[in-house]
Amino acid sequence: MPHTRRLVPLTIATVVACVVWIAVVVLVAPTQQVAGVDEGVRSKLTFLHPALAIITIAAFIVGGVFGWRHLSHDRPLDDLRAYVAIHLGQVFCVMALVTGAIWGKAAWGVWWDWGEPVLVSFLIMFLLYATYQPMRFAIEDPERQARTASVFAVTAGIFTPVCFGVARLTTNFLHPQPLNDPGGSFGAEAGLAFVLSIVAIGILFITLWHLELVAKATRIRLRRVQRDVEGEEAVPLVARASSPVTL
Amino acid sequence: MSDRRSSDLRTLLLLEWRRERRVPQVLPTMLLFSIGAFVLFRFGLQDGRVEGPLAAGVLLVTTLLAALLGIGRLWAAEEEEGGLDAFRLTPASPTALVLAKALALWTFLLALHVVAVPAFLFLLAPHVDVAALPRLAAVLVLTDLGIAVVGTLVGAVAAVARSRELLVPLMAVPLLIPAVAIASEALAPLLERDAGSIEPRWWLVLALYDAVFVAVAWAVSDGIVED
Repeated sequence: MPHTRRLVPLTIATVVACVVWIAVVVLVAPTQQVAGVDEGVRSKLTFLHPALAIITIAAFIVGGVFGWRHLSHDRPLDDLRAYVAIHLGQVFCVMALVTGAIWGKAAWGVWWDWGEPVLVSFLIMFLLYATYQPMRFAIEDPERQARTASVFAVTAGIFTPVCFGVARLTTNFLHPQPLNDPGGSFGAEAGLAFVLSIVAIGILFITLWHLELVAKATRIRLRRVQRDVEGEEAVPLVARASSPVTL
Repeated sequence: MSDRRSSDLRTLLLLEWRRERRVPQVLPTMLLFSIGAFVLFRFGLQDGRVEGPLAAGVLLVTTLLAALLGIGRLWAAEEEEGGLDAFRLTPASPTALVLAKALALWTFLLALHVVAVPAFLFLLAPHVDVAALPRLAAVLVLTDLGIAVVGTLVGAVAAVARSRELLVPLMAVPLLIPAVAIASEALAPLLERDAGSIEPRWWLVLALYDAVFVAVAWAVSDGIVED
């Protein structure tokens, strides 16, 4: 499996990227001053929360692309790739929602603002993808499960940018963009830290995607060997039903 | 080839309507639900009238909830009575089936609105300017198309699952929020006492939303119907 060979170099790249990113954020990137007030938490979250959100959206779109490839070429590995991308996207989505709430508390004094369309769009997306596993594992036939999950992945993957586009259009109150804010005190170092945050979290996502892919593929093959050796009864039915695919 | 496809589409659409005529399920259910919801709103809002964004919200959310009832039944015959297996034996293309389902749901929703909109205007918004009605109808036609296409996809995905009734609203509601948001922006000025005009961008965005999901339905139809 090609993903196994890439794990070590990817892990090294992730460690390097994360160390550089954290060092730049802590030591180099400025803390924004608003009316002479130090905006510590809020400033530092600028180098974490947007990157998490961007990678979440990318993960869902990647899930849609692999879902489409699965529908086109009928390769079970593409279904597994889509499953893992969406699963990690869900985890990153939760982290983006939590860091967004912390940012909101620091910036606006509230954990959540229903009038903020980007926040609400993210919640809509989270709610939609929260149905992915219940939908998937409610289908018993593995091949049908994989194909239906791919239809979902493609539909939801296209919905993700549509949802954000509509949110931006239906309101004039746009999500804050501190780096583009003409009144903000962020400089060129902030731009560097921002780009580094996206690169580091992007590589972290790719590494975790490979890791989960290898782990899931190994478990699926192990189950198959176990069934061959010990018979069909050796693997509990529930465990079999919750396998994403039969590779 | 395209003649063949359009002929298949017509046949399948007629089949959907014939099925609905023989055993009326979707339309009466959606209609009764909508009227019931409007009456409920009339009492819930303390005999009040609605206008502007509130009126748009009441009309669209009622439409969405009524559509969920139709979406839940859309693929029922295919899954419960082996209709999909029978379909696979025919030379018709999967795209024709998916598009026929979407067109059937669209026409059901349009038929629903022929009765539900006058009921809404009578019960909750009698002040609405008659001159705004053609534009209101046009917005609803586009909104219904979006709901129908997304509903067809969701119905197909949920139909093969064990807990179909639970999955349909869970998947359809988030997917349809943008359609409702755009339609609400478009309808709100029409439901004011002095009807305003719709910003041109809402027509464009609503049409784009519909076009995107029609393209998705077209693209994934093989995955839905394949055995």
